[in-house]
Amino acid sequence: MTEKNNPELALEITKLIIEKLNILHVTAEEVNINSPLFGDDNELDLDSIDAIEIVVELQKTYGVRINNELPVREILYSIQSLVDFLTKENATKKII
Amino acid sequence: MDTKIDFQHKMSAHCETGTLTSLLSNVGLEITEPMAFGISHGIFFGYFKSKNFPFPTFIVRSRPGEIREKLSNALKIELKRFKFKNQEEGMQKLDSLLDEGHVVGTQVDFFYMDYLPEWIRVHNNVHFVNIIGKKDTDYIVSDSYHQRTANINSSLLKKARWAGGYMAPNGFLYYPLKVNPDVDLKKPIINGIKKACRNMLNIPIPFLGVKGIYKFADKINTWPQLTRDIEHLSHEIMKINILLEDQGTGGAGFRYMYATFLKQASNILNNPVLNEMSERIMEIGDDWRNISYFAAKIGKNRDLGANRIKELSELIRKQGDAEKKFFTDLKKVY
Amino acid sequence: MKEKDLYVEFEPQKLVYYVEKDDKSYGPIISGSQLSANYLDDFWIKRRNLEKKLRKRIIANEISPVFYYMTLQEMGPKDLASRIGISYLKLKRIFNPEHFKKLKVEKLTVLADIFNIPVSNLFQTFLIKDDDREKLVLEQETTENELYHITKVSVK
Repeated sequence: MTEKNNPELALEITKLIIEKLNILHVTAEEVNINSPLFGDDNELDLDSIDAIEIVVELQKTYGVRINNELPVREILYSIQSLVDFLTKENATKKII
Repeated sequence: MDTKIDFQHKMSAHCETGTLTSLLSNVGLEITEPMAFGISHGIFFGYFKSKNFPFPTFIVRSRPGEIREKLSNALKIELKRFKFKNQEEGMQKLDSLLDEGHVVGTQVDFFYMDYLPEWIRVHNNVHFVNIIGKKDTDYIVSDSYHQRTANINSSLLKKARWAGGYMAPNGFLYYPLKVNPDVDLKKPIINGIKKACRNMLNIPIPFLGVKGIYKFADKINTWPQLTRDIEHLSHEIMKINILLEDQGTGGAGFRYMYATFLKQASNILNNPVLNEMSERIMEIGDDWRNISYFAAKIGKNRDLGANRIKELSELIRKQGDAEKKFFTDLKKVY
Repeated sequence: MKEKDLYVEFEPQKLVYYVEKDDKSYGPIISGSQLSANYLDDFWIKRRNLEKKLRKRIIANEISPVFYYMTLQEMGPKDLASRIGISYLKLKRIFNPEHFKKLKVEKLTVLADIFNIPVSNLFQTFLIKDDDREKLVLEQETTENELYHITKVSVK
């Protein structure tokens, strides 16, 4: 079981989001993992369409599914909340 | 070096299915566009408001790339895929694949396909074309939306393959490596139907699936406040016609293509219920087409007062009801 | 929809549709675009009017050419920002003519490349009267110098 504070996983997820969403104006190391990922003037410029992309990438990379029973807004709140979710699901990066 | 591979170009309803089925046909697997679409559960709906787009919009199929991936999984097709950060490497790979005799599928920004009519070309990073050869500094393109093969200058193709932004192509190339020409379609068809129903009915996101149709019906009432002036509103309302009919859907936002899939599935599975369902979704498609005509007419006439928009909203809402019932009934078949 | 009800004659833009054939089967046909066949004139009227309105705003120093081309090419601002490699907030600043004027040539070249125009077109418009559109051909050629283009106007 991984620790709740998992800086490596946080960086991994941030890099995944930045790469998949083609974000060029900020590096993964610069992103505040506790800042809201969505909402006005968020630092990554994300919106609802990006939320779908993130959900898809989580499934592809970690094999986790966000379904009807899970609180999607809470999971996608911040990089840290994504870390918490993946930690709870015991998810590790799929080896391709 | 000039190359042209012997390849049967034809127009198709949609670029992703057209490109893919042409490539598969070229290596010995014959599958119709509707069958590819249905097995990969391509039918969908989503309503989006995002700064990635100039205005709220809607989609009528699954995420770009999913048709290729889902179909190849379902039919055990082995695909070779490449992405390139380095543009020179990406162009060299394309050249070497062509020299080896492979027709190659590529992802491009639609805007740069200068052989297509100017008025339809918008920035859309999820257009798919097949490259079938090279002549001097031009590449020979088989584009589903063009009546014959076309030439595109290599610098423009490079720009199109590495356009940045939303859903950037990143030089994506693919071609089929291995197919089973005698693959049994029965189980993939059934799985495709089940997944299409799940996608339309069960995704817990309020702007996707049938919920997306209802969201569209609600939100269209706000469009007048989002536009610059009446001509802008006219343009956006008339775009409903483009998105349903003109951008490569086979008509009625892919509903006609799905109807054709169900009819073909009915024959393969020997299930007359699927034939009835195909007729139902064809009728739903006819109602979507009526919405397209209505949008075009009121847009052209600038007849866009609140009552007219509300009328359009109600027509869309009825489509939500019809598709909810349709997919609920289709789910019961298998 | 039945084949005969859907088919439209329009050579410049054809599409494949799936229809009900006479024998009740469903299959593809190639038809002209109904929208373009009937409404293309209206598209061009709106387009020319929009160009004119945006041009006036550039002249009045209200917007920059970046906003002009982004609007005409129907790009989302976040999409454009990502293509340039800057944040959405930085792009909004470039819509302001005062910030646009401070851009380096290198950035202007990136913008022109995205919009697929010669970089000089960020600073000029070619106006052709509606009556003359049928008679004239405007061609802009790239040269080996990416900053230098040749514009040719000829009579058809």
